[in-house]
Amino acid sequence: MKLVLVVAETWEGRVRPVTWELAAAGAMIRDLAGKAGDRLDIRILVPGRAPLAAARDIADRTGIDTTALVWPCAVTPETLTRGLAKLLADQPPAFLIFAHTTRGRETAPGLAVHLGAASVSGVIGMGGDSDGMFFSRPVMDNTRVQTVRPLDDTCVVLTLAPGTAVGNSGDNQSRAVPGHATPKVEQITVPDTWCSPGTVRKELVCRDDDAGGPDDPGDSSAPFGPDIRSANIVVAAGQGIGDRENLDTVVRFAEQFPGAAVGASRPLVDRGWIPYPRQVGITGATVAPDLYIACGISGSSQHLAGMSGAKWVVSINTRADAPICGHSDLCIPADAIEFMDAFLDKYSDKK
Amino acid sequence: MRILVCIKPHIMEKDIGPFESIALEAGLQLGEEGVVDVITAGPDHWVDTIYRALGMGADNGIHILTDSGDPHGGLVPASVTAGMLSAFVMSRRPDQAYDLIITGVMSQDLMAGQTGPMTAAYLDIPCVTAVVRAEQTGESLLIRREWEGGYWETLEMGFPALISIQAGQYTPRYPALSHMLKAKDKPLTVIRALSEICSTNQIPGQIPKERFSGLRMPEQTRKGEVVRGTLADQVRAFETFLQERNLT
Repeated sequence: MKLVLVVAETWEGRVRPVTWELAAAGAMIRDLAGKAGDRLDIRILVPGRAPLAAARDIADRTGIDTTALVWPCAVTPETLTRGLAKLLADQPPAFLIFAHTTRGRETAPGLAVHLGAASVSGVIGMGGDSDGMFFSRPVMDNTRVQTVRPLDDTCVVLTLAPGTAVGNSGDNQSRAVPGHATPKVEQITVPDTWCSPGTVRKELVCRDDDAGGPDDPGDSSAPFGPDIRSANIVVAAGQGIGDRENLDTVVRFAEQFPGAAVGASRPLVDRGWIPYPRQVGITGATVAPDLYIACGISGSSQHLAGMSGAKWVVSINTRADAPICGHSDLCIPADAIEFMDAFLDKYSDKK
Repeated sequence: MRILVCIKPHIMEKDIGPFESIALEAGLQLGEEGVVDVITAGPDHWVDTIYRALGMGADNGIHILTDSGDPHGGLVPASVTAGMLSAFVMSRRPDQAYDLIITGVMSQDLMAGQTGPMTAAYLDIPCVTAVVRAEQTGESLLIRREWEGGYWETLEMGFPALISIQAGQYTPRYPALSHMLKAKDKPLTVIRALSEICSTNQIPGQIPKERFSGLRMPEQTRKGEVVRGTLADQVRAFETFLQERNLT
């Protein structure tokens, strides 16, 4: 039987939560293909130096059969590409699913080349019709969505954007996807001749306490308020605020809302204007406040994924056709700084 | 060191794409003592992108001319582009071979980040993506790449290699007018057909395994009620919005 293979996302030996979304997406693809008459089986691959415990845990939580792939070297995009290409060369699966993370983004395209497969990156939606399966993905700076159709009977390697298929973390009784009652766990040891890394890790550091990166300590003393992950209100600033000095306006605006925290989109964090822990998005923090005010943020998919859990969203952006507007309850087409100044002026008058 | 930087145009402005300009800046800094070539594969008018790169300081331009009559907003599957790039790289004389190929972390139009890893796979050379800093140390390259969750990884890799540059540590230089004027005097190689550089049946990826079948506007996840009018009107609407939901 043809397979849907899901590659579990692990980091330093631990299973990352996006794995539950991958499992749910795998089950969705299996069911869509099933409707079209293709019977597919599903399995989760768990590569690692000693992945058996993680593989058991994943099988237990998802109800899906797992394969612990005992990796002979560090699991990197490079060794994954080479190792999986060898492992799957004889019988490529119908679908091979990675997370759209640094690891998946780097591994999937090269692996697709080795397997002669279709390669679809950053999938945000999927479906099936009389012409077969199709996938949606953002293009043109997030202003359009493209439909991609793999050719018939070809292996499809895809990366799934986090947030696309909501999986269950397994913390309660219900399972992420309807799998077997007693999923099987197998173990395969990958020969060490299969991976000969051309890159060598020298160091791994977390810049959680850094400001903009190791080269730019930035100004962490600025009054940006509480942790953005726990704040009830998040005021987030993006490139549209213009100069760094305008951050003061954002801070003063946020101060009008008790308990509000100041967050930012990736470019401001990259520039070192705002500390890294305040970055909202896939590569930063995921927030779910009652109110999210996006100031001068156009709305990349990676940012939108980090704020989609907010109860209410207000966006202030010069362009009413910016992607963020379609993800806002209230969309204010204005210069974010001029708007905040007008708001602050009015507030001061009342006092 | 001989470096090849892969570029394509910005989708809105007369400029190099945002990630490609960062990639070019990284290439120009790494290749100060060497040669930095830029390459694009696209229709006639993409030559402006090459001139811009030459104005920023690249030494030679290469333009693989492709048909502009594509129905899907000019979007081409990455395997096609990666195949053409690898064919060009393989066609180089040994004394002109590239030590390092640099791409942006993704393009602004296709947003997939596939061309780099696919080119590396076709050429069978190591590849690291999401690189924020790269420095040459003797015969190897010391690079810092970014992972989710705020991790920076320092890696060492040999040559030849391919890296894709993520935004953060490189700010593209602005080409001076005098440099832009001189750009058109720099060497530009136009490849009108791939058969000029290699046997066309050797080029991988030219028959994609997927097809692009349409473009649409993104779905809205929220109502997106647009507030027009003066700033005062907009501030009032904002206050009303907050009051109605007890958010003040």
